[in-house]
Amino acid sequence: MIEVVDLRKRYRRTAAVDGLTFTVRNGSITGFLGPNGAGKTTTLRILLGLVHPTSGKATIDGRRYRHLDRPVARVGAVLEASNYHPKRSGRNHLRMLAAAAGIPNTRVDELTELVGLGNAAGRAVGGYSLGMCQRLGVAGALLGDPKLLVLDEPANGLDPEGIRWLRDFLRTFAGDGKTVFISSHVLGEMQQLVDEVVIIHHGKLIAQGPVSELTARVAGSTRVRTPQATALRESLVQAGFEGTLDGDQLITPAPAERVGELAAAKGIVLHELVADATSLEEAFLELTGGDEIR
Amino acid sequence: MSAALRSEWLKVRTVRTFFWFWVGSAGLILIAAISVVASNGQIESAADDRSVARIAAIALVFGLIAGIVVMAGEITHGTVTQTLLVTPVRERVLLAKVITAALISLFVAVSAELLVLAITVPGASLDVHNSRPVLLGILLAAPLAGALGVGFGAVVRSQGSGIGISLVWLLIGENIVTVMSQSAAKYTPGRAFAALASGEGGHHDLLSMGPGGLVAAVWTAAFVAAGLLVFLGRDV
Ligand SMILES: Nc1ncnc2c1ncn2[C@@H]1O[C@H](COP(=O)(O)OP(=O)(O)OP(=O)(O)O)[C@@H](O)[C@H]1O
Ligand SMILES: [Mg+2]
Repeated sequence: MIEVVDLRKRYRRTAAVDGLTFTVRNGSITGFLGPNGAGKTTTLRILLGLVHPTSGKATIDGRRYRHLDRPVARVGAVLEASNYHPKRSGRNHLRMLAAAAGIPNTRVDELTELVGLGNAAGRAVGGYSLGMCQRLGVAGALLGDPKLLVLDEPANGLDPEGIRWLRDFLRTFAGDGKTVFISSHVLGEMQQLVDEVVIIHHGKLIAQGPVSELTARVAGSTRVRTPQATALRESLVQAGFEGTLDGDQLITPAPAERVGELAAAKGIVLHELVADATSLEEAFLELTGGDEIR
Repeated sequence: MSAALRSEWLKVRTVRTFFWFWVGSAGLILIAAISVVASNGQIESAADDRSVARIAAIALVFGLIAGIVVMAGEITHGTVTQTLLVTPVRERVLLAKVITAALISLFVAVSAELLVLAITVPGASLDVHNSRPVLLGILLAAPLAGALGVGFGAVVRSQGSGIGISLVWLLIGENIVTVMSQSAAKYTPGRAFAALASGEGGHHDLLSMGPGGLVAAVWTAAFVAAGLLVFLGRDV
């Protein structure tokens, strides 16, 4: 379990993380959302012992990263691409990590296959595409066969096929009861992938919970097209709902079922009845107050 | 610890950088040794023997640079992030780097000495017995130079400026100190290493071998300690 308690990180002028508290359950895929500059990367780097917090703590199974027995066997991390020596081959990069962790080279070969690096593994990383670097990053994270994966914007630079590969991979990984904590602002991807989300903004927690709970918190709306729009609006108002007319269209916060029932009761003809399901995207934008970047 | 060492050794082996340092050191020594053979041909005194053997001290500069690259190269390329994910105990990473750089530097020095001997013993009848203190001094100085490079690399955190600053210091900085104070200049890092490699009892601008070695060791310890403090304290 990841536990972040009253975490703070102050850079000279900005409070990158500002009293953040949340937990990530074992066995879930949790999305870590926030607009640019929200403090996601900083939080993850603190969790991984790379950045020193100003105060508070971030632990994995109750321990700081530095104090984990064999960290790579517990946590795999995929940070930004390009953290490679350009002249070293992907395979040698993995071998040097494996050596430090006491992992045999056979595991390296296994992983280059698994992530689909194949023949490229022998080439210098300097010639890799962004997507190949990400795959190499995933291979590095899996070296110790960890139970928890932490990923910082792994979809960056991946083509649609790469994104599908990553998503399928993460689903399989989580399907084995393992845990995934993944930061992103590619929200469409997240909605299909994650069970829960942690949303932060300006270094503070905005919301945490299952995706469904979150989208329910943000009001949806129903759109109806009917030749008797005015009559339908009247019955909606009588039932206590608002309604906005727009030609033969009517927009109302009433749930679609209720609109259908009211129309049937009055014998009103409907040409179209659409429940505008709130997407994670909208919930996110509403919760973080738009796409404002610091 | 041995795992961290093995990883450091792989890092060194899987890029060409260190191979080129070795070649560069050998190349400069080759030129210097051949020009000795070509110019006077004969060595007259024990002091001459020592000054010819001192050609091998060029290796110390390469050992220093190798140390800087072992540490700062990882920061420059960002691979230190992944190194620390595998080995989060930073003291251990730094120690493995100090040992690795010391060994590389020693290897470069041994090669350098063998090369000097191979050329000047037959070519200029260098007396190996007379030059022994120099050869020994260089072998003692080499691991220190590599270790110091790691400490310095951890402080500057960039291999380019690390190499630049250290070369400017050795070529210009120490001379400025000499102009300001002859007696203080004896204690600068470059002069202390030169004293250790001199194989001599000291003269007006150099300490003798023993004290020089001691001062070189103190500088090395100071840089490694400073490097450790920075490495432990800084975010990566
Ligand atoms: N090393 C640093 N020095 C100074 N300020 C920093 C540093 N790292 C991050 N910041 C600042 O801290 C804030 C949070 O940055 P962070 O990278 O954690 O955001 P993020 O949520 O990962 O953003 P993005 O979605 O763009 O990756 C930003 O305002 C950023 O400018
Ligand atoms: Mg980020």
